[in-house]
Amino acid sequence: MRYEVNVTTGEIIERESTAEELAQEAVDQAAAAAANAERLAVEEAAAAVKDSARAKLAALGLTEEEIAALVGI
Amino acid sequence: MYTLISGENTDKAGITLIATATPSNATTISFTSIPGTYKHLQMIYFDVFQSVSSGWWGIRLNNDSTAGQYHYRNQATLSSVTSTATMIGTTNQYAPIGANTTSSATYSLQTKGVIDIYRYAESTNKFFTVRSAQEATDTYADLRGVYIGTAAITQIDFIPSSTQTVTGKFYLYGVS
Repeated sequence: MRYEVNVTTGEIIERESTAEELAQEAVDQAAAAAANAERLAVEEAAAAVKDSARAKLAALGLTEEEIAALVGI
Repeated sequence: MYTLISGENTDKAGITLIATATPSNATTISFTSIPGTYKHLQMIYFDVFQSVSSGWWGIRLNNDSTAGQYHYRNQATLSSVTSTATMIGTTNQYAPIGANTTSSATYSLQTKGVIDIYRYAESTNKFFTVRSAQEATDTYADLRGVYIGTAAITQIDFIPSSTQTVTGKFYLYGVS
């Protein structure tokens, strides 16, 4: 149920979405899902790069504390 | 000596409650027919929770869904990404109402926040800030940005990421 407040009159209306509004909601939901998936993919890629860097630094003999100082926790 | 800043209104200086919304399981929240009487708008919301933990809510101004109209970034996550999207808060990390806020009883697990829209009735692009917090990982916002639109803001909508519903208290103030 949509909740609308007319700020000028103070009237509150609770109603179902129209067909046009339902169509826009579908577009919004698809856009949100796509944007969030893109963000997660970027974050996962960054995490993978960080893991790779940590492994290479460890192979060079750095301690965990030294690696954390370089690439973060 | 005190000097008036540009845009300051000495006749009606102050803050006025102009609308209250207390939706229960709403699919969308809309503030419509906002008068251009004030200098700035401020929305304060609290006791807000939603029906699913994975969802979040963004904001749309003037029902404008044009791509690229909203430019903003989230300082709370220390992200270097500048985002453009069809609404403020397209992803969880940029959401005024974040994920993992489903508790109807525990205040700390509900969203509370403030939205400021500056010079909302003037014929310039509209700058805004959004601050929200809740005791949940990665679901707080400290957004600042601009909406590319020169028409006065007359409508504010809360837009869900999916089919979830929201409950809470929302107070809209006019600031002079």
